[in-house]
Formats: sequence, C-alpha cells, structure tokens
Amino acid sequence: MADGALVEIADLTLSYAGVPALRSVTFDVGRGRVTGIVGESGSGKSTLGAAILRLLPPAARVSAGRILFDGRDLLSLSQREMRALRGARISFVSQDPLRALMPTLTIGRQMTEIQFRRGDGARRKRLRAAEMLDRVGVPNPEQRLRAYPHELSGGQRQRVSIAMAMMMQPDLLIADEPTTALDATLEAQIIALLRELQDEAGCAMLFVTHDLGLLPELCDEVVVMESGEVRESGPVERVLTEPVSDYTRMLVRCDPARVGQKTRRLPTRSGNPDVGDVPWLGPPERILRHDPPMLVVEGLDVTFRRRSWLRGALGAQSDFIVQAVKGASFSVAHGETVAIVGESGSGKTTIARSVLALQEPDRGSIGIGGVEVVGRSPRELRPVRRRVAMMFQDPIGSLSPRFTVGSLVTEPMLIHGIPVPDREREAMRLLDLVGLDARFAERYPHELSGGEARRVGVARALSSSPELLVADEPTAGLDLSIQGELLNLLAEIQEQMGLAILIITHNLAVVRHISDRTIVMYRGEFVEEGSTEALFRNPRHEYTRMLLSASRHLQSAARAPADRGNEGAERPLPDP
Amino acid sequence: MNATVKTATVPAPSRDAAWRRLMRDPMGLFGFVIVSALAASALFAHVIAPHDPNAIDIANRFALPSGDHFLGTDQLGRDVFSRTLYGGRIALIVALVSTGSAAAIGLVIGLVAAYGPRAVDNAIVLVLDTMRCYPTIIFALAVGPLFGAGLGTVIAIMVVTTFPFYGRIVRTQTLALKKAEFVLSAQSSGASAARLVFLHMLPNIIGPLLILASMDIPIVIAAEAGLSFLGVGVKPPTPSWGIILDEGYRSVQHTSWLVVAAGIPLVLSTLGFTFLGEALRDTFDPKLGRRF
Repeated sequence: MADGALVEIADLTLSYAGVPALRSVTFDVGRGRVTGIVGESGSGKSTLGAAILRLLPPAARVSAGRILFDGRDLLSLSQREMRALRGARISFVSQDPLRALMPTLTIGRQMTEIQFRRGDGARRKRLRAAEMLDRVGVPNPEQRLRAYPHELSGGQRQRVSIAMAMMMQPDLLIADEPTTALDATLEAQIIALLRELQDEAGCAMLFVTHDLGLLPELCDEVVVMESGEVRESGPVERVLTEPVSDYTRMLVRCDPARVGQKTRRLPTRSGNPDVGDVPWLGPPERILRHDPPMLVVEGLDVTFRRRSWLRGALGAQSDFIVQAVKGASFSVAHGETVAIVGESGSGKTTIARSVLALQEPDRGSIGIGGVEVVGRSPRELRPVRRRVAMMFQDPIGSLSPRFTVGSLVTEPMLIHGIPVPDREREAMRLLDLVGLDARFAERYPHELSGGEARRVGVARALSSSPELLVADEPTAGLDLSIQGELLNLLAEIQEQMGLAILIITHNLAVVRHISDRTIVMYRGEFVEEGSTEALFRNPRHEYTRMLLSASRHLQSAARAPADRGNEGAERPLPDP
Repeated sequence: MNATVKTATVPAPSRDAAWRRLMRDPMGLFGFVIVSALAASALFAHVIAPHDPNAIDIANRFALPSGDHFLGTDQLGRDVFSRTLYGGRIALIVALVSTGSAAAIGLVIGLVAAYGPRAVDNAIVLVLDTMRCYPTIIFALAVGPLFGAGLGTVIAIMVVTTFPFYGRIVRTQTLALKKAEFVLSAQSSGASAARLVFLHMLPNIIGPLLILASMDIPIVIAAEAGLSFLGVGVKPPTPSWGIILDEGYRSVQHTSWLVVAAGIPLVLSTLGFTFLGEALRDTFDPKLGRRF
C-alpha cells in the first residue's frame, strides 16, 4: 500500500445539473509529490479539488469513476468517514483568505478550534498555534493570535490559512489558486513558503492554478485540463518544454512571460503564431513627441478621509486619513502607451479616477488636451469627457446590467449629442471594430463571458472617439489566451486612431510587451519612471528591483532547493 | 473557456423566459393562481356574490355552509361568502394603495437621501429611523381615533408606518450603486445626474423594491383586518375581513364557524402573495436567475 500513489483518480465523470464538468479524468498524486492542475476558467480544475474533499454543490452528480485516497474510494465513504478525513488527512487552502477565515473569531480561537481532535489542553493548543504562525512567517505570533482576520494584511491572512491547513499534518494539501488574490511579491513569498512546508512535512500537494509560471517553481507533475478533460499530464519540465497536446502548446505560447523578446503583439489562442515573434523596434513613429502631450499631470496629491458626521459636528479630527497619491507628475503623449505598475493599495487606481474626474484631488493639476480638469463643474467637464474614456477593472460589473450591449456601446454618443442617424448600425460598426458579432447587440452584460465583456468595454470606450484611453487592470480576470487577443486589439486600435493609452496594472509580464514607458508606484509615490525597455533591463530603485525579481523568479525554471533558503519569510519592504 | 459555446446556450432574458420560469416554479404558480382568483373575485364581487352583502335575514342567522350560503351566515343572517367577496375589495384597495404609495414615497426619499448633500441624508435617516421605531398597531391605536375610523385612516396609517422601510432600502441600494463601476463608467463618459439616476440606478433599484412590496402586501392585508378588528379601521356595516372576523369573535359562543370562515380568505391571500413575492424574487434576481 505504502508504495502506491496517495490519490488515484480514475475515469472521474461529473456534471452540474446535466452539464458535464469533468469527463473521464484520470491521474495520480504520488506520496510527497506536488501535482499542479492547470487550466483556464471553466476547465473544471477547481471542481476536481472540491470533488476530492466531497464538498461539491448539491447540483453536482458523479456518474462514473473513483477517487482512491490511500486505497479507499472517497466516493463510497459516509459523511461521517469523510469528516474524519477532512482537515486531518486532507486539508484545503482557498483562493480568498478573507472569506476562508471566520470574521468574528480571533485567529487564535480558530487555530485552537481546529485542533479539536487532539486531547491536549487549551494552553498546549495555543502554544502550538503560535509555533505554527511563527513557522509560516507571521511576525509576533503571540500578539497575532489575538487579532481578527480583518486586522491582518492579505499576505498574512493567506499565511494563517496555510498554517491552519498544515497544523494537523495532513497527507494531502489541496491549494486552489492560493496566490491569485495576492501581488507579485507576496505571491513569490507564499509559493516559497508552500514549497518549504511541503518539503518539511513530506505531504502531497494538489496545486490548482491558471498560471503556468508558478508550475516549475512548485510542482513535480502537472495535469493540464480543458473543458473538464485532461489534455496532458506528466513531469512539469517536460510538459512545459515539449508539450504534446495542442492545447498545452497554445497555453505555453500565450503566456506573455514566455515570449522572450519585447514584442508589440502577443500570441493568441486562435493562432497567428509568428505574431509573437515580431520584435519591438525602439520608440515607434506613432508617438507624437513634438505635439503638446495629451495628458499632463502635475503634483497630484489625493487624500482619503473618513470622519463621522457627529464627531465632525463636534469639531473632532478625522479618524482616518490615508494619503493615496503623493506628488504624482507625468505625461502621456498622443499615440503613446504609458503603464503605471505597483501593488494593490499603491494608489494606481486613484490616479486613474482623478484623471477621469471621478475623484477630487487635494492639490495638483490635470490637463487633458490642454484643458485643466481639476475643480471643474460637471457641465464644464462634459466636453473634456468626450476626449477621455476609461475601461474599469471589472469587465462585467462596469456594464450597466439592464442595458443591452447595443445601447451600452452607443450611450456615450447619445450623452455627447454626437449625431447618430442609425443607432443600430453604429452599434454594429463598433462591435465589428472590437471583433464581436452583430448578434451580441441584443445581449445583456450577464450573458457575456469575461473576454466578451472586455471587448464591449473597449467598444463603449471608443464610441465617443476619445483621444485618451485609461485602462484599469485591463487583463484582470481574463484567461491568458483571451488576454493576448484583447491587448492586440488595443494595440491595433491605437495604431489606427493614434490613441494615448494609460494602463494601470500589476501584471508586469504584460507591461513589458505593450507599454512604451513605465512608471513604478509604491505607497502613493512614483519611485521610478522610464522607457519600459530600460526599466526592465536596468531597474534603479530597490522596490522596482524587488518587483521585477518577484515576477522573474516565478517565471524562471525550477531551481535547486538549496537556493530557496528563507524566501518564504515576510521581508521588510524598502522605504519609498 | 469555450466562450462561444457558453454564450450560445444562454437564452436571451426576455420577459417571456422570466414568465415561463415563474410559472414552472410550483410556488410561483400557486401564488399566481390565488392572487389572480382573489383579484378577480374582488373586481367582480357584484357579479359573483349570490346575495347582497348587507341583506339581513334574522330568521336564518348562524346558518352553517349550504348550497345557498357557501360560507354560512352571520349573527344577522347575512351571507358570509358575499361579505367575504366584498371584503376582498377593501383588502386589495388598502393593500395596493398603501403599499404603492409607501414604496413610491420611500423611493423618492431614499434617492434624495443617497444622492443629495450629506446634511440632507443625515436628517432623512434620522427621521426614517425614528419612524421605524413605532409599531404599526400602537401607532394606529394612538393616532387612529384622532382622525376617526375609516378606509382613508387605515391607508394613511399603513403608508406612514411602512414607507420608512422602503426609504431605508432604496437609500442603501442607491449608495451601493453610486460606487458601482457601471455607474462610474457612465459618469466618466459625461452622463448627467438625471441620466445616472433614472437610467442606470433606478432600474436596478425598482426590481427589488417591487418584489419587496409584493411580499409586504399580505402584511398590510393582515394589518387592515387587525385594525378593523380593533375598531380603528373600516366601520361596521362595510364588509371587511377584519370586521367579519370581529363579528365572528363576538358570536363565538353561538358558533365557532364564523371565525373559521373569516380566517380562510386571510390565510389564503397571505399565502398567495407571499409565495408570489418569493417566486418573483427568485425569478428576477439576476444572481439567482439561472437556477433552472
């Protein structure tokens, strides 16, 4: 028994209310091995993790197959037997650490609670919880035990979930996209921590991800899934370098981090394989440097305050002041793409909202095409707004839910009184421009996939023929293949229309390919600015170096364990 | 994954589809049948009713149900079935008029609070929260006698005690929507305040509000009966369900049947509106919309 695989999944077929989610899935997870499951949204990778824990939604039906865990078929166990396994021999780390932790109990309470299977006294349990927190690199564990989940940072919360999952020394750890909600630097630390703990405990791990870059860093074997089927499986090294299935080849090809050279276009799902090889040759003519820039921001300061009205009336100070942006100055020329990169909370989005006059700055000036925006009334802003368009973070949430796609894309024209003889034809033209079929005009936002909604967002943004496009995390929530298509579309449109583009993102792999200049933002300040080429080749500021090394580190091939050292620990960040 | 396949299989959300979903839900169908039967019987009470609801026939008082009197007769020998039909009119008028006005007032006040200046918001919230503290019945007993019993008083009391709830909900919804990306998106493309409120926010508020109102109707019907029972509502010869119940209660030593007969329409209508309201919520909530 001991030499067999820990988990043997054979011919597993599962459907949600009649819609197949998994089809004849077969693979093994060896004892002490890390198996990665990679796939795009809807591939069934998360369903697989839930199936092993038997925590599927009620609509799920398993029609065939077996899940053998240490020789026992999990599908035939009673709920009671399953409960004995969950948390003790099989444990789980989820994507969203805030929702995975109980908000109304302290960390310490939750960490002692899960030791209920042990007969130890409360003090012993608490001690063990503190040791475990220390092990996962949470500073001041004793004090942290008294904290509530919302008092911890995102990275710390994920460390706590990992600590809780590892505390009972499980044989199998299932991690479902554990770093998706985290920034690049935190992601690198959490991956290193998982690797360390896994080495130490010798447990097996099932690591679910959509990010190919994470695989070599952590996994021994990989299973590639698409539409509920296993497309390919094998050792990571082999699958990534010599993929056998077309699907894996496509995934590998579409990963912007794997396109060695800086290119303007990215490879996409539908092919066009040589597009990725078109090298990027210096600053192109599309950038009109001699003209006055489209966007000029000078000395921008934005502060957020919160003060309860009652205390305000009594003359109290604000309870809460955050300086989100400190003295930001930059410009974007016609035809140029500028990227602002930084971790979440660094103030990137605040800059975008200030440019769109959705956020009133405390100080500074914002000029759009030579017109000052700060301090203008909505009426005065209207002609300026026609020249600027924004793509918001959430592709579907930024589309008004009761509007059809057709009326959404033409709404800005209506607002600005742009004469449209035939609204329907105009909608078709815009949809065609972003590569969507005319029948999409009748759809509602909730009927669109993320990629389709993004295209609708682009069409809407373009409808008032703007000169500046502000895109806030344009690739958020998109699968790699679709991400490439969208970015190519933006590049094409920019070339056709001479658009100035300001991109706000934390996706460095993408920035490297599409932006002409890059600004690095850290805790509200610009720490470095320069041509993207130079900045990636020769970062000057310590923080930029850290950011780049974090993302490069993830993309590098698997390294020897000796190299890994103490990378899982929380590192102090430099001062800006 | 397979974006094209996925979207192709999702049907357009026409009103037809929502309607079919509602009818496929057994609770929705049951609620719909009861509510339409109730509405029809109230509307055509003068046609359906076998007797004059106020015709007295002392010789035949306290009769049990028979072919002539489906629900028997009361202490004055009046036909309870006919009185119940006419009582349905009162119940529906009170329910629809007071729920409708309360929701409308709440909508306007909630929008003003959420969209207006901070000081106005604070003032409105203070008033709404204060008013929400009064229990309907206590408020009615305190204020009702001042204005005299009657249909108008009942409606006014119901409106005053329920609109703060609608106002609160509309305000909260609007505040949440104000920060929604699609509203910011419209705002950033230059949409006027009127456009933002009426085209982008209102349609997303009014759906939940209507569902809430439909779930409130049975409460109002029961409250009207309660107020009439307590003597604050509709005055006696008028057949209201509350009055029928009150009269049955007074004659309970003679027969217990009257109390039962008066309770039947109350129970049925409450169930009907509640089921319909809940089915409507399930059908129209976009997040629950795909459960079939």
